[in-house]
Amino acid sequence: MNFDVTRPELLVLLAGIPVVWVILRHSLVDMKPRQRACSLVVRCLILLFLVLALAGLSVGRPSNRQQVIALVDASASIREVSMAVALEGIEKMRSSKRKEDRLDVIYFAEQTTPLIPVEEDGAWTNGLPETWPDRGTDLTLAMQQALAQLDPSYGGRILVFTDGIVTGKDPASQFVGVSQAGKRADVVPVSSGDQPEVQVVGVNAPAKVHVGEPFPLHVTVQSREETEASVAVFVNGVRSHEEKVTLNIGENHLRFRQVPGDERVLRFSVQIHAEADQFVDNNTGYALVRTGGKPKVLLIEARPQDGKHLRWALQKEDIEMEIRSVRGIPRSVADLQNFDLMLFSDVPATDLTVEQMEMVRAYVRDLGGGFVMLGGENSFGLGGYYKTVIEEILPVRTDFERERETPSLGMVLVIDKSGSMGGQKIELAKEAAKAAAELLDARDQLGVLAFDGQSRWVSEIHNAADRDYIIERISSLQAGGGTDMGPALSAAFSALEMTVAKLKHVIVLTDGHSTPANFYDLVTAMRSSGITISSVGVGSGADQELLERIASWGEGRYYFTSDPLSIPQIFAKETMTASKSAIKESPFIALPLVAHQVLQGINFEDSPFLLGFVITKPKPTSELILVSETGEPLLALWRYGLGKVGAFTSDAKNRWAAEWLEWPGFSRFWAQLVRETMRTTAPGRMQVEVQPEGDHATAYVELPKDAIQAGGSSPDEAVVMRIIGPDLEPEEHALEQIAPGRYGASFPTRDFGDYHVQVSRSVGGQALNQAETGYSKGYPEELRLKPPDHAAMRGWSAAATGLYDRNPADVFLTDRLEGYRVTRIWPLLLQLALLLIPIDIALRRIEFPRLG
Amino acid sequence: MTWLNPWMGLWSLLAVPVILLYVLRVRRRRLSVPTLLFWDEVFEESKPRAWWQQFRHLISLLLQLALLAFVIAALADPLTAGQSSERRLWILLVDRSASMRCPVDIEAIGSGTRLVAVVDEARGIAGRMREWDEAMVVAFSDDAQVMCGRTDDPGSIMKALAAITASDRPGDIARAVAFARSVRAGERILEIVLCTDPQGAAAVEDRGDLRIVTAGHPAPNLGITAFATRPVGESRDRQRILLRVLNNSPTNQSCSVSLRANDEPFDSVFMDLGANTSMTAVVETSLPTGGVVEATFTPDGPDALAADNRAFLAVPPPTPLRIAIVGAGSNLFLREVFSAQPLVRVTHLAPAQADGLTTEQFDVVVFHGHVPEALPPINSLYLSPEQDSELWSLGDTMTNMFLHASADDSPLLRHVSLEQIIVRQARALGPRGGLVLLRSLETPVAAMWWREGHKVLAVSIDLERSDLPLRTTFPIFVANAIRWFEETTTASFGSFQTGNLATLRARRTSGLVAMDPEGNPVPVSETSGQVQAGPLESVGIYTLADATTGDVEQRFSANLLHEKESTTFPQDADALSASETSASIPKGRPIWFILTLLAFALCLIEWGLHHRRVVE
Repeated sequence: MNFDVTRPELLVLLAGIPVVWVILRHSLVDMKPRQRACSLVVRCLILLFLVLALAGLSVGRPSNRQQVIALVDASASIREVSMAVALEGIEKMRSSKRKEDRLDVIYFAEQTTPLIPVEEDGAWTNGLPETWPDRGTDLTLAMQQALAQLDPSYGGRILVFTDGIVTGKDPASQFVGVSQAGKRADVVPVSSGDQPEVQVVGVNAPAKVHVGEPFPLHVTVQSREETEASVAVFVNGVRSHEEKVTLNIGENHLRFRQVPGDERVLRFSVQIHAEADQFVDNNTGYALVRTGGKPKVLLIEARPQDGKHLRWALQKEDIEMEIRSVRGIPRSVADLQNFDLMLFSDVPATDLTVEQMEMVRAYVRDLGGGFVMLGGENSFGLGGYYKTVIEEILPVRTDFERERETPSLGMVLVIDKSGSMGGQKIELAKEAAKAAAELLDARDQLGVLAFDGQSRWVSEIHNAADRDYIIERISSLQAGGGTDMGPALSAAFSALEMTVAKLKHVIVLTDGHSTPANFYDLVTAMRSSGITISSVGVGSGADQELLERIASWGEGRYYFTSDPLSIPQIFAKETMTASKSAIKESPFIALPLVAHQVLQGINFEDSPFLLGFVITKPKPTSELILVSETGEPLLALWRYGLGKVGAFTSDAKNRWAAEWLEWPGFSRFWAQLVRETMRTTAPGRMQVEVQPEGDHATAYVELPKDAIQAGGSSPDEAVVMRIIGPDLEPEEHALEQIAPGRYGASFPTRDFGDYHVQVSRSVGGQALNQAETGYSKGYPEELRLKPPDHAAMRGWSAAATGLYDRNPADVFLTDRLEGYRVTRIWPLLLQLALLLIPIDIALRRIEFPRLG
Repeated sequence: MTWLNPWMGLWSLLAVPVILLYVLRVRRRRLSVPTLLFWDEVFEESKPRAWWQQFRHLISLLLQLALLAFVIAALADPLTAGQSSERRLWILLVDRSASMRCPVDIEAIGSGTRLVAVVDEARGIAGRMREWDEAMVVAFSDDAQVMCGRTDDPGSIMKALAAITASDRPGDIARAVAFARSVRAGERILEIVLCTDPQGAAAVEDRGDLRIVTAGHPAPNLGITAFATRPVGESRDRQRILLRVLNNSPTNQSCSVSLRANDEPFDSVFMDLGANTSMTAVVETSLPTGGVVEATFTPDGPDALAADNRAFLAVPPPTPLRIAIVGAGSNLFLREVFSAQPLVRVTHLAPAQADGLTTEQFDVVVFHGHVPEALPPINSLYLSPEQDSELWSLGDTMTNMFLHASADDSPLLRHVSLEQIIVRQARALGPRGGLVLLRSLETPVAAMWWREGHKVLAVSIDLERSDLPLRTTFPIFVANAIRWFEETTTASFGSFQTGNLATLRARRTSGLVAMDPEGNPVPVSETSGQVQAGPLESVGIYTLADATTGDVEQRFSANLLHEKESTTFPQDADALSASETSASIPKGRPIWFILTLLAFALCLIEWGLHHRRVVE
């Protein structure tokens, strides 16, 4: 038995005992010597008990009680087998434990369950919650939780049922900690069993191939039994091959001959299907292959046949161009990565989703791709790009100050505010109306009319110079009520009739079916008064037929969108189109403003007329290279992130550039512009390698030998890695030099899909080297079934001074550990002191003859 | 007020005998005297003069009752309205990362470390724990270690706190807090007390569930944040060393970093560092027999952290690369070309001897013609392979052709000129995965693969029917190949970081002990054919030695090299001081303790009053 005090500093109060004795020595009280001595002893005992209680005296004694925590691996790969082995083992332990012993269980995978006492009611056998995150094995966390729950008053032991395969941090140091804490950990190896299982363990392909070069796609498939299976190979989402195969037990190596097309990035996915299979989630494997070849450019053209002139011009300069309609706008970064430059010709923002626009931005900013927007009646402001992420990357602004001679516009926005427009729709409609107010010129007039069952002027027709007031009024718009469009259109008609403006336009937006009315008469009457009407239908509930007719009768445009996020683009486009101010269609000569490599060797004095362009305004830091005779931007460039962006406000087809097509400088100009803006790889390649590990990957970069400076790197040197993961959210990481010429940094890879890695090295802000690579993360590591790691398990049990392959039946019977049981006794001490108080008083007040 | 043990009130019955004892008159001692004359005089003189002395008896009774009341009240364990009787589980999360070695006040002479200060605070909290509370102690650096499982015994908590030692490991406060938050408290209320320094407190996401105890103030620090080496030159006797120093202070600082190899100074790098900037230097030195490289500096001004003022590298001696050439013939030209390379030891083996080759025997195996049934898990060069394997399949035989590079940026083709090389005969190589290196027209003839822990290179050119071996390009290609293989066989690029487990490729994996720089044993385990030692607690040179003879098998180093840990003067230091404590730690002792203390004091006072006959 050991005594311990938690507040030893308070033992100094024992100095009170000699004080008591001194006081007694100088006492004026007349007592018999023995009675006086007894009184002294009793008072000293009272003081002693009080001091010991204050100091926190506790009594400790060794305890032979055992606490065993069974840590059961319930991860997806071995859950069933592990549970079966563990339940049997725990049952053996339960039957052999003594009454005073404790047996608990914790199940673990990515997380752990609470401590579950093993009792006769058998509740512990159903300890896993219904939704159990089993796609990982974090034994480190499980060991920490078990150690946290071991009561020091028991001899503590952890019995781990596992196959030794972990997906989290190496748990070795936790096992070391077990022995340092005076506890032990034994390991019971569990095999992942022999249920039928087929898995794709690897898809190997060369990291880089040449266009047209056949290469084998090597697929490694593991099977636990001989079985028939079908294998399908997909290239960039398209099934390229399928066949039946016979799988043998163990590893099977399959080869599929592939001939890469002209895509820059090939994403292979291989799927295998077998009749009997424990897990289907590990039946797909992925590989990314990059192809080398000529620079490749993608032109998105509203009418693809109009792009042929540009394609011929570039082909002459050995640049390959693919033309797609707006429907062919890439929907994945991998698709976009096939190209070094993307050109938009007459592509309205309304044909792009917000995700696609963000993808284009990421492609330019983070992956170094090039982007050029060409003019047209659906480009820049006319395309509805105002306040979009595409406008953000452009070197020009799409709003501008209109010229004096352009006609004034009176416009009414008729917005459905019925109950169905509630939430995001009405908010976006408000944003769109505000953007329209911002886009209009001071001479224009704008009114906003909202309707449900009735119509109400949110903002009566006001001069657009008063836009702050209009915007404030628009903010007050709230959704609620039915849908009756007729009265609203009538009100808009009446108001516009009273308005003095050269152009009069109505935009009507609704997501529902209106109460019937004679729309034909109303709209034709409006048209007769010089008012045009465009209509916007939002969502499948909109009366598309009626809206289309209204736009047709009103000689406006009809838009339908299922995505409310595109409403602002539609309003912006409509506003710019209705004002008829953004296009300048008259012959002009392109005037070079600065000497630039894009213009090198081209004599613009001999250049023919261009017949029109879209009016824009250059951004402050952009490089204005060509302008119109009146000084508006014709060609502007700038760098955006890693990539370069150009704005050519005229076109490259037979509308405005009809005379340029015959001009010898046309091909050279466009080839030089494309080369200037497309993605470039600077000389002196860096080597980039991505090593995946669990839920993160590490990128290692080797600089070219000539980039390693003997004296050390420049303080201005920066090696930066940008990663576009499956969520398209770019991440930027600075790479740290970990050895001369070698850099490294980790990045998380929690989601499954493609990770495009772009590394750039710059000194003093000037990019010197760039390199790119990719990594495709397939199914969770947990489902990559492997044989048990006996070496690791042996190492762990040795580090924790435990046994490997421990028989659970023996755990409570042999090698019992000693605990230390502590009892705090301050209440007992105070009670003893209490008992002594009357005795103390009695010794003073009563004369005890025997103590004479 | 709430009483936790109200039944202790029964002890108040003791007041009855106490009162009775006072009600009874004190029976005076009987003493025979010859005369009362003097008694009467003394009695007259000692008559009480003050009014209160009339109540001496009553005051004495009241004092005794008060003593009784204090002790009984303490036993009943009262709680004030502000105190809670809810059962709590306290997690004392103590930061023991390297920055906790910094002094609390760098300006004060003899200031204790931040770790000592926060442990003292934690002890105070443990001392104030209520007896129905439980606590556990978790010490963390880059990993959280439970020092004491949940217990209601303050003694165990105190011992666990006393056992927390300082380390040179970096900290991962987010991981530690995540673990603490994941602890299941059951019916109890979880209370996490984070004991760290100000920058640690600022790094954690505070959801309002942490009680943060901090020690220390932002202090300037100069620290080495990178120290690594790579061999240069073909003979690998020279090392190129990377050194980076961080000045984490608001003023410019300069320092001279002394570089020593095997205790002999070989260079000194002067660094003039701007405020909160790093500077990198690369130096070269000759280390023909390997050894220990050390970088140290003595800061001129105040410096918060000593662990990052030095860094070590254990550079293994440039041992010859063991190359086996496996082939049916004499392979004289191959032996010559490999033997001509510096630091290479070539052995010739017949194909029958090539089964079961391991990395313990050879670093690289060159198979000429022969292809084993299962490719060995070892760096391998396959020249003119005659069979298919799991990595390639051989196609048609091609004759009289030129070569061109398919991966011209590969280190294997550095300085390799393929012009005017005529290959008389080669087999088409169909690689499974890997990277094609050389091709003839569009047909691959050389490819390389990275496999787990080793590399493979295959060249399907028939060397005996080609002029390639006669060209200067061939030894260059072989030299490149050797360097490429070497990257997996030679030492790592630098050293291990403190906190990590050192995974070592030793010639044997059992019967070994590891020692830290102070000569203390470090846990060693074997895993997947390698030796793991650690976790590495302190900066310095470690040794891996034979357990019985003590012969040193290998040295390895551990360094802090952690910019965040060296950042003891964060740039947003003002913001840190404002956000130091998100929730206050309850102060003060429980009421029973105060009542007992009062009882103790009263016991002494009453004794004195009684014996001086102030009361009776």
